Amino acid sequence: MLAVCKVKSFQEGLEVFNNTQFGLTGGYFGKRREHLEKVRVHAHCGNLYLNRKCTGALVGVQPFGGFNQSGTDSKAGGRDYLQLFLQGKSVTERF
Amino acid sequence: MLPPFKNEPFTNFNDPANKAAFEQALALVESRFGEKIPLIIGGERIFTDDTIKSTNPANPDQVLAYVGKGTQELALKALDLANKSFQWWKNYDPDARARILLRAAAILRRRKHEFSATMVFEIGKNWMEADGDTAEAIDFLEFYAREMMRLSERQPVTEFPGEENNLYYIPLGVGAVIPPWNFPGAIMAGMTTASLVTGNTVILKPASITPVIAYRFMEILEEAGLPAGIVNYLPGPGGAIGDTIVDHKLTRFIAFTGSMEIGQRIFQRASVVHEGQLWLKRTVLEMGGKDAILVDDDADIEFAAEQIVTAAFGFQGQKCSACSRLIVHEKVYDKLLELVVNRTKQIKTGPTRDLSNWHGPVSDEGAYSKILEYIEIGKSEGRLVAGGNRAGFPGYFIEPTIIADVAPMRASCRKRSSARCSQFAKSSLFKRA
Repeated sequence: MLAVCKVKSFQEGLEVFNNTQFGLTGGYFGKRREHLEKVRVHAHCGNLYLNRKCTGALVGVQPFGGFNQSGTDSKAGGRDYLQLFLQGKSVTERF
Repeated sequence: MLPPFKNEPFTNFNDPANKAAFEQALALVESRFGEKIPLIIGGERIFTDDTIKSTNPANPDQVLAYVGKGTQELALKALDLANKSFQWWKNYDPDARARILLRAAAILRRRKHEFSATMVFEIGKNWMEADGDTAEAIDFLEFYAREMMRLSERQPVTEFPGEENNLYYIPLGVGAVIPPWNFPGAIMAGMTTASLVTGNTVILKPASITPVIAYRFMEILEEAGLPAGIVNYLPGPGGAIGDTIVDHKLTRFIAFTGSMEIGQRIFQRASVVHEGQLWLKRTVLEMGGKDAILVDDDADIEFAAEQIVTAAFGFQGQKCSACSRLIVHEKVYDKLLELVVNRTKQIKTGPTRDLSNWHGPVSDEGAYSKILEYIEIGKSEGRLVAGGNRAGFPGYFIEPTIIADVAPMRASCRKRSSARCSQFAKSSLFKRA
């Protein structure tokens, strides 16, 4: 089910966008450079898509995982992921 | 040297040869309906009297398989054996572990349509969605194999006079892997193989409505040469089995994808240090979303509408990444809404065994009644502009539904809506919880 709402301005839209306990994916459609840059920084979600759909993340291309109540900020299919299943052991030998 | 990672291409079903091959795979999966599937613990196949019935959400009378149902006793046995296996698996050559994933990727490529067809029946994905899920599973195998090779190389540390310094990445221990039903191939395979390639051993508890696809993956891992006892296949009820494996003192980490409620429950339970437990448990949790698309006044609204409909209703809107909130600038609101509604009304709903049905059933009876309930709430909070009804088949079909004119100032997420992954969690209303 898709819920649709009307906003008076870009700024209000961004506030509504972020008004959630989750932060997994999100999208923005628009052309102004200023708005694109602002969304890039202020839209708080783990996978943000500008001028395309917010589904269909690819392994290696869009490491996947979200913020806040969307999880522990892990990024599946990214270079950080396997380290979540490992622990680092430092070994020093003096000679 | 291994060629660089590249994404597995999607299948073009306009090609008659591909279409025929997929039809054949569907028939193969159908020929297995009603099979009995065992648990696999320490390499031993265990059939149980009490079973989980995996059914087709497009036609719940069709039983894909009767799958072994784990008990607390079997869970404890699996944990003990996984802990014993870890003692040697942790020292198994990382390159050899990575090569198991590469072989599994090759086998999965050979059995690609069979794997996808299983998901068409077990969870109602359409052909393209199922094919995408399988491609992603292959990608995870290829990607994590290369990642393990990288992480087992000499790691960069700063030189210090008179000392030899090294940093090694070593495994954690026994992991509980609890995947979701919405990507029952890809995410299940991704979390399982990330765990094992790094030298951990696994208790894999598949989602209760998608245990068959996980069993097929177990077969592939075995064929690829994964030694017995490294991944233990333990379907069972989340309450009894899930809590047992999360709580146990031998469990070192939990990798979970699913609803916020279950994720928070795991997070909380994992924080308890039980008697005899040496470590603090690590959690890798991937929960839901309430994903929004914002459309500005200068957007290309024709293209935006097409993309929004795909994001909102692909796999029945049950992806964690699905768009459930659409926020539109007032200057383009009416026009965009009209375009989105028109496209949505063209969506064909029906059993996804048929390639022409893009929109299939929702996951199970629980989701079905919950979504219908949310639609009723939606009608009270906005204007129903598309769908809203059952879609008239024996299975769990609901029309793609849009509620317009929801008040943005009330925008928030309904806590109770995300009963399963984000999916239809999408009660999608903008109302405060």
